Amino acid sequence: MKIILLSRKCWRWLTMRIRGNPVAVRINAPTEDALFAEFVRAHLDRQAYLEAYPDVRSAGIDPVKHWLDAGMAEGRSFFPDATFYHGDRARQVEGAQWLQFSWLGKPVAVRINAPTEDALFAEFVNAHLDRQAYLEAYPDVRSAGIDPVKHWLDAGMAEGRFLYPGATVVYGDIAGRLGNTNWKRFIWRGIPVAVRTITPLKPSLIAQIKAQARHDPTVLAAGALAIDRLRQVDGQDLLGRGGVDVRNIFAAIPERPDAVVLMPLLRVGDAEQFAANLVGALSALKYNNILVIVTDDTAKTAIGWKSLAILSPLQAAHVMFWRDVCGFNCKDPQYLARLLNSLRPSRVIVLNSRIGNDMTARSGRGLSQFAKLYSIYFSLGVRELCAPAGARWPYRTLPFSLALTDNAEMAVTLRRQWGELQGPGISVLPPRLQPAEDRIFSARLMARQTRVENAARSLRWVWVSRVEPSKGTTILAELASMRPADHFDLFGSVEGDLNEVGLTRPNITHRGCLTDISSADFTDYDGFLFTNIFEGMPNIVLEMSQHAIPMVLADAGGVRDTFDDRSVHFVAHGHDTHSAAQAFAHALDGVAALTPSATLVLVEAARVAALARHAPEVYLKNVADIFEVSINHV
Amino acid sequence: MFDLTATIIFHREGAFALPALSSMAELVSAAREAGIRVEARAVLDNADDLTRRLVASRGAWLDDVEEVSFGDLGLSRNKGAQSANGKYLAFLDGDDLWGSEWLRLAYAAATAPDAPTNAIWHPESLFLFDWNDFDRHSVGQRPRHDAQSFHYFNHPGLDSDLVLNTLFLESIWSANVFAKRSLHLRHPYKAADKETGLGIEDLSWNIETVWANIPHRVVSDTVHLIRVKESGSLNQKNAAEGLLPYLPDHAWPKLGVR
Repeated sequence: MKIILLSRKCWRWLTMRIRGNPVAVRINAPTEDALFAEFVRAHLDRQAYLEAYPDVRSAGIDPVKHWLDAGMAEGRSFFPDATFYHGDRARQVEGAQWLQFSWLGKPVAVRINAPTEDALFAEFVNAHLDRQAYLEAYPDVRSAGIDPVKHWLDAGMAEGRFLYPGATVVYGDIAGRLGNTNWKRFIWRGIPVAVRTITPLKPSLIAQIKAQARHDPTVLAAGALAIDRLRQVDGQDLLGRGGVDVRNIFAAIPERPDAVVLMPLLRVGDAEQFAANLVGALSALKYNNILVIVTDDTAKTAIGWKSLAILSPLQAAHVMFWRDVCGFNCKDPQYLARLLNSLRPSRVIVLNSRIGNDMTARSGRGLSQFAKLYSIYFSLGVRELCAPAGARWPYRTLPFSLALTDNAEMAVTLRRQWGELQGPGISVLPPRLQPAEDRIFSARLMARQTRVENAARSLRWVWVSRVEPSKGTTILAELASMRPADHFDLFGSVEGDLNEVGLTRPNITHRGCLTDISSADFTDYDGFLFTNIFEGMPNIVLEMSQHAIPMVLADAGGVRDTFDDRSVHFVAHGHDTHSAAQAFAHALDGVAALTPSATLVLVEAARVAALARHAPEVYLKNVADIFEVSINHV
Repeated sequence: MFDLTATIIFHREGAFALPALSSMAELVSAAREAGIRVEARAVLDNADDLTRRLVASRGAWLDDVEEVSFGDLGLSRNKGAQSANGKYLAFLDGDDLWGSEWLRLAYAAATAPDAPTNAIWHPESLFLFDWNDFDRHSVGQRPRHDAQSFHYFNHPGLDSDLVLNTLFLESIWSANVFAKRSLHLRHPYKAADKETGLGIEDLSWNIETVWANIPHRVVSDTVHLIRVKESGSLNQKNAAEGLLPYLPDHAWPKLGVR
């Protein structure tokens, strides 16, 4: 026989009092777990459960066992007459209507005939919403004649309108991460909600506050009678108080990093590839532990990034999505700076991250006490448009952060504009190129020779980039109209509609995205067109240099750092689309007129030039020099 | 010999010095009436003429007024600690007010038989009051929904790992602490240093003392009243200058733990 001292109401027990203490006795009493299982067995709607989860049915699993093993933790509710809370939420419920159980050592609270989650929250709101104040504060609700409770639940909460003066409401996933102290937690339409209610203030504190009004009446500016119902915050609850999820931030970092890279997105792009190659090189040098903080993308918006070949070097690092972990105050660079201050990595690299650049601008002086800082700038934009980081941040970061760029032209510009500022300086790191193997390039050369020897061929040109206006699509459209006998094939993701960027002519075909440019076959094209004038040193040009294809390139950014007139055809951009298109048309004529031998000389020269400046071993040495790492570590 | 020294620090508080001095006088009187020997001092750091004149006229009751020219809150407090004659020190900011029980109860807590030998004591709560709430004034028992004044609670029994990690990102205690003078001399405040980008004297001091295993405790039934300023507050200045707290060499966050 097992005798358990009980202070709570229970059933199926013989209750009595011994020496004043309440005692409940049950012969052959089961364990706490068995008691709970018994309750579940009595209340679970087995049929509904099996209909909802055919996998459970087909596997022949007892629905009670399945719910206890998995369904409860997953929040599956199939109790028409009961509501369950387990874990921390079970500890929070109050009132005799709740039965308290334990399952695997964790508390479970059950309310028989309880209203649904939504009804529970609606009940709370109905009891607490200050209708009069709400209608006074929001005339739109008053004039529409909407019930304030309904309005707040349907729209006001999501819009940040107040529930009642002094209450703080957090709505969304973060509500589930708030501490238990002083927060009441609910679920509304499947989304967590937490409400920081007003706890009674000690009369002694109220009296002391009010007494100070005789020195300065400002103390009671909010209202002498209302002092005890003003908003309350808890000092150590930084998530509730300032929107910063301390627990989550530090939990997301497994160990102290040697180097931290801040970048906004994990997508296909030259900047992202530059960052990934840099992480790869640093990993190959001495940095075993690199933390990549992705500041704008979330794990959800960047889903699938691990399958992108160009980002594969990032998999050697620990990737943290700042917006997923930081709480709801993600945009304050102060917290990012203080986080890095606590981690004290030896290198901090910021690439195109708005909050990262802001952090360096504000706190770079302090961060530079323990870390060498690097701010990566690619360009100044297209004719001062597009507001890239390189136009905005350098004068604020250069005093304590080395400006790193991928092209000499940008370095010259930065020196001309801000060179007098004292700081670590300005350096060029040419991007890394993965070269084609010699045998593959030889095969491509032979194929090129075969094509150019066919004088009767119709001319076909290939264009590879994201299809958007900043990539020169208007130039391409006009070029196609000037050369109706030629065909233009486009590869790349489309931002919007092809019609919107004017690529509607019948001699233009969008052929989708290329997942791997290095293995693509461009034999059937007569040349590669690069119309973008926004780039620093574009990776696509480097990659195309491995395909033995003549290249017609906008003479912009860092392209001339690598190539010259013996290896590519440069096109000087005019000041308008028409003159730029005319220049490209003239360049295409030049390529088409090349003899087969001159074509082969041209494409071989392009490959040699690219490898001289961008080959992996050259890149690694450059990274070692700039990041002051001994090459012996390789 | 004094049991404690209350030191109020002034910079350019102007008119706010008047209620601060009145509140401090009441605070000191309450402690003296309880039999505590209190030394009351003021430190004026690069004070403007108005503040200097108001302290002179309304602060005649102070035991001493000292003028310095650091232009730094931490260094002003350090000077106050060096000049004080009390066994315990209480620092006050020259634009705040204090519940009248602060000194009496803090001294009682610090000298209780079961009190830690060396602890730093904080008030149980802060009341941050906002002058702009005159435009949002309530005559009833419920405040206006947009009132900005609020209560801030320091909780005892804090989760130590979380507190340690929180302090790397944000302060959780106000600067007006109560502690032994010897502790202040052993752990002086660090100056804000624009050359290194390091500063935030109270946060740095709290981090340093926590990592020196000095307990931070809360004095029950005490409240400080902090004036919310539209501009020019130290926090706003810190944020604008992007200063980072000094960290002890051995202070590292606990990582990877939920």
